[in-house]
Amino acid sequence: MKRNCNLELRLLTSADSDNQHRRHQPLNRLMGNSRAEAADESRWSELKQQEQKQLTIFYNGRVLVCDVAELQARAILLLAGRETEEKLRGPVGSEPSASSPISPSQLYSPAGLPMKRSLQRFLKKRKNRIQATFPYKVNSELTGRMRNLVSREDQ
Amino acid sequence: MGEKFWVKEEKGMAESVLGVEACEFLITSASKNLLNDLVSPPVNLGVQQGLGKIVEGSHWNYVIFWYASGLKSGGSVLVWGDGICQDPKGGGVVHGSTSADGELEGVEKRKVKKCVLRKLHACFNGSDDGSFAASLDEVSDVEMFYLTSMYFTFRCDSAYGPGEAFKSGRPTWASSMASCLDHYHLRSVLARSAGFQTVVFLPVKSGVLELGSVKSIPEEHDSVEKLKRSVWGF
Repeated sequence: MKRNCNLELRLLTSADSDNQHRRHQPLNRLMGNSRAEAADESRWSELKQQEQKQLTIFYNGRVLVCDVAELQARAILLLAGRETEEKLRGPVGSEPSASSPISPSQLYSPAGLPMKRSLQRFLKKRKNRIQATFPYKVNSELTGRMRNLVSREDQ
Repeated sequence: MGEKFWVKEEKGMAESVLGVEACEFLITSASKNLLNDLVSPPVNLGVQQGLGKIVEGSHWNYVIFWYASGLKSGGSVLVWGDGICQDPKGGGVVHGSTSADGELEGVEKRKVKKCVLRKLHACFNGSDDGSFAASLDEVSDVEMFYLTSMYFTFRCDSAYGPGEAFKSGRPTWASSMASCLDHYHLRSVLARSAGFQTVVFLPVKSGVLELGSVKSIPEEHDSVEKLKRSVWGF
């Protein structure tokens, strides 16, 4: 595990036999990761039958303590490792120099709607003007030549 | 991939059309995500009809309503609210548009303008929407100014342009090219290409109205009141 990620997994031997009094949050909720949900339920409980040790997970500011078999613990480590890797790789389209956060498209934020609307209105008006001048659909070369004629006449 | 990242060629192209300072400003602005920091984002402004009344049958080539909002991170800013562009030389109807000094524009310059618009759109939009740029052959300089303005924002404590008018509460009316360019500040390169001779910044309810024309329109005693009445009816 790299130092700068906030996911820290430790395997602690079960010294505490009172862990049944602790509230166990579902692992997938804590991880915030739907991949954990995809784990086979029956296989999971099957694994639980094997010798269990206490596992303490520190993740994203939260703590989870649970009893897991060794295989389950390895599965958790594997999933966590994958998630961390993806986070470090970063989403597609980020700047190479990564000095500013990846922000959602500004044009589609609520504040960007006026820009978008003005743009669409501008393009529509333009299209209407062009169609009004050249109402027949002709190939672009012909349209170009016609436009030349029009502009030459204007001069 | 890397829409917000500008390669040297893109930057060079943009600088040739926008000027170095405007280019820097827009590149920085795109990565700042200012629009998501607004305390009250612009919605349902309802000014389009009023703006239309100002522009119709007038010599104004464009009118913009800059909307004022506080920032969650502090201070206030003017952002694009709405606008109308009216350029007889624009619209892609006349082949081979002419620039302000009457010279026939080269194919190169037209291509560059289209590329710059496309890049700005992708940069602020987060994706390269090919369809957007497809219709933007032969954008006139007035239109280029107008379309690029959409990406600008102005701090309300600025000493120039819309920010200054908002801060002082007093209108600015400049009817000579030289004094216009002063007021356009970062957009002066674009404004010079467009050939604006008059610019007006009018502080109004919740923002600033900006108007520009390639003609010299002197201010008359009731000009400001007439303009305000067109949009807000008072």
